[in-house]
Amino acid sequence: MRLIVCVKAVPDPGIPVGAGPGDPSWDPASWLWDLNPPDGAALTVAACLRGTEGTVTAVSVGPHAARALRRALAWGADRAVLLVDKGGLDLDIVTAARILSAAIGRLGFDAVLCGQAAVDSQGESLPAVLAGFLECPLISPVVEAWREADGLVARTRLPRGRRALLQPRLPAVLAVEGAPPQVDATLPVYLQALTAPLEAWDISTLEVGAVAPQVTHLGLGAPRPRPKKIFTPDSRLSAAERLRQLMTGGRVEKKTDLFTGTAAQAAEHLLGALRREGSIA
Amino acid sequence: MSVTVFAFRSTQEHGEQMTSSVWVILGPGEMPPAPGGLPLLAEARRLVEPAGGVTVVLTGPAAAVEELAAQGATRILVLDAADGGVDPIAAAEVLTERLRDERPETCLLSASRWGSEVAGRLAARLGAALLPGCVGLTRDGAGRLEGVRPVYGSRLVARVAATGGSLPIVTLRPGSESAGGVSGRQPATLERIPCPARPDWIRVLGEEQVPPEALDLGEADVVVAGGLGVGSRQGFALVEELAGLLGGAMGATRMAVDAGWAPFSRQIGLTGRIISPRVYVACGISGSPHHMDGVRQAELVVAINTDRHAPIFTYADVGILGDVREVLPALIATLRRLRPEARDAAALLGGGTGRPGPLDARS
Repeated sequence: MRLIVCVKAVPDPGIPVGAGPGDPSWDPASWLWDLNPPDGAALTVAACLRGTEGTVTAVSVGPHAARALRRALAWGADRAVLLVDKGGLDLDIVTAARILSAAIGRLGFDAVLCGQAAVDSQGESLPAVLAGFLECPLISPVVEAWREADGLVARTRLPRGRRALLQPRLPAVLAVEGAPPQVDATLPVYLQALTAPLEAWDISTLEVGAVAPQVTHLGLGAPRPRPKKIFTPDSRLSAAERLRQLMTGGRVEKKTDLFTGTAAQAAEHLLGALRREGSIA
Repeated sequence: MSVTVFAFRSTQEHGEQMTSSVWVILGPGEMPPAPGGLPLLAEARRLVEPAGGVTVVLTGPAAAVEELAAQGATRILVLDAADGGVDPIAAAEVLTERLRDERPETCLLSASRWGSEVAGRLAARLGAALLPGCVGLTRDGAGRLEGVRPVYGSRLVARVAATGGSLPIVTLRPGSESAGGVSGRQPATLERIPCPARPDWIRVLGEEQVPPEALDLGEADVVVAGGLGVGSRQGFALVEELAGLLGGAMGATRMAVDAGWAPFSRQIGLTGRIISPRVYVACGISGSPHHMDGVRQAELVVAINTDRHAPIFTYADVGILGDVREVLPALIATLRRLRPEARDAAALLGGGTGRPGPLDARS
């Protein structure tokens, strides 16, 4: 099975960003860049799908892409392809997906895996745009996948603790959620990945036509502060009651009617409450 | 293609206005009165004010047409699928040509799973400008649409705008759209568009429920938790069984975890997980502030305790004065009569181990 994993380098989530550009704590030059954590989860799933005869190829485009690719190599990718943009374009999601899909088409694939979201831009759209360009099914969010005789099966997350088992027609795109592998690579493997060759492809050699960003980034700024709810005591209450409310952080006690009865009656009472709430039919 | 005129204006007359219109594409479960649809429509109306058309694309029964018209929709397109459900692939295929022909000013979707996939596929097919996950939309001095979206863990926001003449496709996060309803002033037309399904692309093999001991506390709608009042590790089996019957997760207080009755991953409170389930069932829990701070956001709190003066009853919406070792078996027996298959199904799943269980279609 030919597996492609699209990876992205993101800044360390702990970096100080302050109020954005212009703030003294805003210093992108000092940021640490590493693999997007959900992309690490995608690499883990790819390793499960690969089997003995499959291949996992990591592909990346954008700033600091080489760092993400070297991490991917350390975590089990067989090959790394760096898409080099000599024009230094400001890549939006659609443009990045167009470049990646052209590279994926040249590589050939049975499944494309990527992280469900990028933790820096909080974007969850790349897998869908990729599936659109590649004209293949998308399964999202994948928590686990395995091979079958007639393809692969993915387990996806549904609301209320349910999971769905889906079998896509191949080729397909899988958007994987979760965290990277808990067992890290060993130091020798890392050292090997640091010196391993990266295949560099100039995006001008890909059949993507004229690449022009569709979205302009106008700037970064601090978000509007969320309104904070401040407790005020109920003026209709006595001074003692108001003081008590203040001392308990504004928590208003509920006037619960205690049910007393046999265990069977209590069970029926509880069932009635759960029915009214909608937890059971 | 069947065309039904719903109200008073001709499609021709309406079509002339579509060049300055905004499209709103509502996915399954976003049709009024469900939340999600109307705020998107309000945002669209705000963008096209004072004049301009709002086209709403529905992916289900057209029952909400009148309500949508009252909320300001000027045209309603209903994607008609043979089996009732419209998958995102089919929706994107059907809508691509219509969007290419009519070239609306903007296309709005909810940033749900369905909406994000349709938006992504449409952007790829149309070469459109995708502004995903926005929390606000504004216009600059030249009338250009700008989106605001959170980045860097929501510590900053980025302002983005579509370049040139490309169609902006915007997905809006829930709760970020314009609040308040808009009174409709115009009649609406209704058009049905056949939407063939693509069942061969993704085959559904089955669904399964994650067992309560494996279901993440933050993911569960219902959490059944036990404290020292449960009495023993065996007593926790009842807590776990009730959670399974309710399709929820099992939780525990710090004292119960310290006693070795539940793993630390199940601990709720300031020293464990802080959760906001829809229903929280506290079994044999006294209700110390350190624990209750972890479930302060629960919508419905049910408490079972033998001590009528236990603080838990000041937090509870439903209180049962009784021993959990008597009440839980009775409740479980009643639920088993109602749902005999529930626990058996959960027991057959392999969700906790990460491996497929015998319910999986592949076995």
